[in-house]
Parts: sequence; C-alpha cells; structure tokens
Amino acid sequence: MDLEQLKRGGVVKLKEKDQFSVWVRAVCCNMDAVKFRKVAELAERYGRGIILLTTRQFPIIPFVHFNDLEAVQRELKEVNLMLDRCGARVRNSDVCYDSNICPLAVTNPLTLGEKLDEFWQKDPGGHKIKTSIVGCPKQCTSPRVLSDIGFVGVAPGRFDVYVGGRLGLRPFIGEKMAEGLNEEECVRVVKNLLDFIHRSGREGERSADLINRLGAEQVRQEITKDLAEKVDYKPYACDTKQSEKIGGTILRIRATAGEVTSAQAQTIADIAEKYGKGFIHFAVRGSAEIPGVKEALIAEIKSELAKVGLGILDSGIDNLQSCFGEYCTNGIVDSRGLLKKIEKLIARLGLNDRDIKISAAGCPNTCAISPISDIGFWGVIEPIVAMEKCNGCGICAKACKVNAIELKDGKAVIDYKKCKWCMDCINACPFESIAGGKRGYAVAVGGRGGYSPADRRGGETRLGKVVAEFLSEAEALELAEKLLEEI
Amino acid sequence: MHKLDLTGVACPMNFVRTKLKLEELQNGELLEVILDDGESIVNVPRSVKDEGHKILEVKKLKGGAFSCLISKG
Repeated sequence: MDLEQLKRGGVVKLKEKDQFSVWVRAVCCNMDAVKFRKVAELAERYGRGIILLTTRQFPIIPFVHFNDLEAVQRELKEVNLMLDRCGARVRNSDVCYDSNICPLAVTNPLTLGEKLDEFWQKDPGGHKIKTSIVGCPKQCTSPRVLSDIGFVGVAPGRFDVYVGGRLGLRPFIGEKMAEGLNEEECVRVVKNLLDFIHRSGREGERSADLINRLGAEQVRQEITKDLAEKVDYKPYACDTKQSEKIGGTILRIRATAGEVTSAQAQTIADIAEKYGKGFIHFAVRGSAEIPGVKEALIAEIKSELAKVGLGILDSGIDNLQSCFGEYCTNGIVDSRGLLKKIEKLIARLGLNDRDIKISAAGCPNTCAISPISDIGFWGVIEPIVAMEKCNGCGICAKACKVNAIELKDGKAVIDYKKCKWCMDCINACPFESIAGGKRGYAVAVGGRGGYSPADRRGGETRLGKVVAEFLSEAEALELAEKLLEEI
Repeated sequence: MHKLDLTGVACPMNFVRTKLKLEELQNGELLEVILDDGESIVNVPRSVKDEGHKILEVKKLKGGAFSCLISKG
C-alpha cells in the first residue's frame, strides 16, 4: 500500500467495513474514452460494477476493498489517471464547457483552469479550497455557491470573482470581490487567498469562515492586493481542450442519482469515440455528456444507448442528482432510492422541462446540491444524548460544525435550536452515548444555482427555503408530487 | 499494550495506520493511539468504531493531543 500517496487524499471510507471509494481526477472535468473505459473496467473488477458521477464533476469508483486500493491506483496510473483530492485540500478546478463547444461562452474557462492547476499540484493541505470557472454569466456550474472562489466569465479573458461560496451546514453565497479581472489577475487572487488563509486562517477554516470572522472588506483587501504582480506558475495542458469550434450538439446522457454501471460506462465511451470527439464531460448534476455529436445521428445513438438501459435528457426533467447517499459514512437516508422513485413519479406526471432541478442528499452536508435545486431533499436525524453513558470527553462538541453542543456539568447538552440534524455528533461519540431519534427527509424549495434571465424561473443564485423536516419517504414523495404539480 | 503516535499525521492516513496496526493484533488486545486535536480526534475514533473495535478511553494530554485506547474487536 502506497501510504505516501494516500496523504494527498482521493480515497474516502464508506459505511461498510473495509470499503472505500476512489476519486478519479478528471482534468477540466472531461475524460477521454480510453480513460473512462479503464474506470469502468476497474469498477467492474475491484468495485461493484457501478460508477458515481459527482457534483464535483469527476467519476468515483465506490466499494473498493482496502486491500485493492493500491492495485486500483497503479492501474489508473497506467492510463495517466490519478486520484482526485478530498478533505481539507485545494480541489481540482471545476469548469463548464470549452468556448469551442458551448455557444454561450464569452471566454474559455479551460484556459484559466489550466493556469490554476499549479495550486492543486503544490497544495500543502489544511484548508478546503474549491475553485470553479464558468465561461458566461449563465453560471451552469453554480460557482457562486459551490466554490470558495468562483470565476464568472464576463468578456473575452475577463472574469468577475466571487469568494466564500459553500453549501452544507453553514451555507454561504459567495460575495463579489472583483470585476473584470484578466486571467493573470485571477491567478493572483487565488494565490492571495491561499497565502492569506494559511497565514490567518484557523484550523480547517474556509473562505466563508474568513468573511464571517474578519468581514468581507478585509478579505477583499487581502485577496485583491498586488494584482499587477504576476504569479510564477506552470500551466497544465488540458488534453481535451479544443483548438477550433467543434460544431454539432452536446448529447446529455441521463444518469439518475449520478450512477452508471460499468457496462453503461463502456457504451458511453464507445459513443464518445464513434459519434463525438472521443471524450466525456462530467456535468454538475451528474449527467455524462458527449459534445460534438451530429443532430442527424441522435436517433441512432439513442437506440445504442437503449440497449444498455440509458437514455438522454430529451424528456422528463434535468438529471436527478444525489451524493453517495446511504453508502456514505454520513448517510442518514437512502437518497438514491428516493430519486429512483421520483423518476417514476415524473414519468407518471408526464413532465417535460429540463429547467426543473431536483436533488436528494443523504445528509445535511448536501453534497448533492439540494439547496440550489427547485426541490431539494436531504436526510436529517435527531441526536439524543444518553446522560448515564456520557463521560464528558467533549469530542461531540468538537465534531459539531454549528456549535450546538456544550458541556454542562461534565455532560453533553444539545441546543436543538441550533442543531442541523446531521449525525456528526452521533458518529463522533467514541462511547455510543448519542443515539438517533427520529429520522427522515428535509425538503427545501425554490433554490437555484446560476443566473439565467432566459428561463422562466430566472434570477440570482439563492438557497431554497426549508418547508418540511423529518418526512418519511412516502411523505417526501407525496410532497414532491404536490410541488411538481404547482411548478 | 501497543502504542502508535499519530500526532502530525492527517486524515485519512491517521486512520489507515491505525487500521494496519490493529490488523497485526489479536482480538481483545489493546492499542493506544495518540491523535491531534481537531479533525483527527473527531474522525479516527469514529472510523475505528465503524470497523467493529471498541474505544475504552479518551484522555486529553498535556500539549493538546489526545490518547485514545482501543480494544481490538
């Protein structure tokens, strides 16, 4: 086992004993067919024949046994793939589409992405820093809320900069910190934020914490200083970047709950080679996308996809996205199962509108981006302290991200007004002194990630409003039906 | 009793090294791991517990680290 490699992250423990997930890096959120086929093959051989396509836009191989991690890592390396990052580290830059692919792009997000790669390569760890770049103000990958630093293309080679975005237990919509910066200035902003957070950040703090603690103005001053001073870096060459307009259309393949089987992934790779430009793009809502497809051939492709049970996003609503759900150590509910039922509900209701977004996450960390969905679900659980078992070690209070636990007379006391029902304290207690009470789904309505005046629910990035908590799966489905009828 | 000092070792390495050490032991044998405050003390006992071992004791040490006593399950 190459333990040194593990220090960089990219391997995450799952709920089942000895089972891990392997995060595979997708540079510029694309992967060529040869590499994707390898991922499919490894999922078949070492995992359980499934691949998860995440909201961070890369594939994950779940259920790899601890003893096989080294082999998987070695085989990935054979096709020049490496592990992505997890935890408190600089993450891979998320991008939407190449400006030679997307007709809406005003600038190429990949060019800036290539320049930011250096920070990923050289990250010393300690702070989670997500970056995201979009090529136009439509903001398909929701950079304002899904990333610590979000760059929004506003003109050729020019970006507005938003800082502080995150979801989870303490969501934050990024604040605009600069306008119309060129790419070199954007690189400087990232360098400044990293320097600042390593110098002044407390353990594990993210950019939103800096803004909350020090105020937006101080953060703005720190990260926008010395903009003219060029950062020395070595750009990475994205191997799927296009040198000219590719034409055709983008084929969006539905992957409910962001899940495809190995056999389906093989077919997707084959189609990318036969009909596309030989690569797959991973979209934020978990669909696998193939750019450069001739419209006249879509019927033919659809019949090939149908053979392995796949379809495209030409009916129903946008891809239903989940996280690991019940596989995850934080998972409270079977969010993936819920989405499969919602898929049937949508078919029954005959909905046909890709602007409608639905997500379901296993817990309030909402990796499935539920709060920026029209209807967003996440699992919740009520923690109850068994006073006779609690020995006052205080680990639960450290684990609680919203400071809802205090030690009083050597016992843990939970402030239910602050609690976000996430299960961190239940999991962290070494002595099983905190038990789960009621559990179920929370539902938020009206969230959105991007900005598009063109669609009929257009408007700024906003978090959905929580309308219910602790619903059973049946109640959650009933509410989904009512809400969908209203939409 | 076996002992493993994991101060300065980050997640998930701290857990992986604990796990490898526990694999060398017989059921019922004890292992004391020294863990940093913060992410380590929140995550490692939890993962150890998930793997079916028992945490017998958690003590805060001088200097801020924690001692965590595990019985192999």
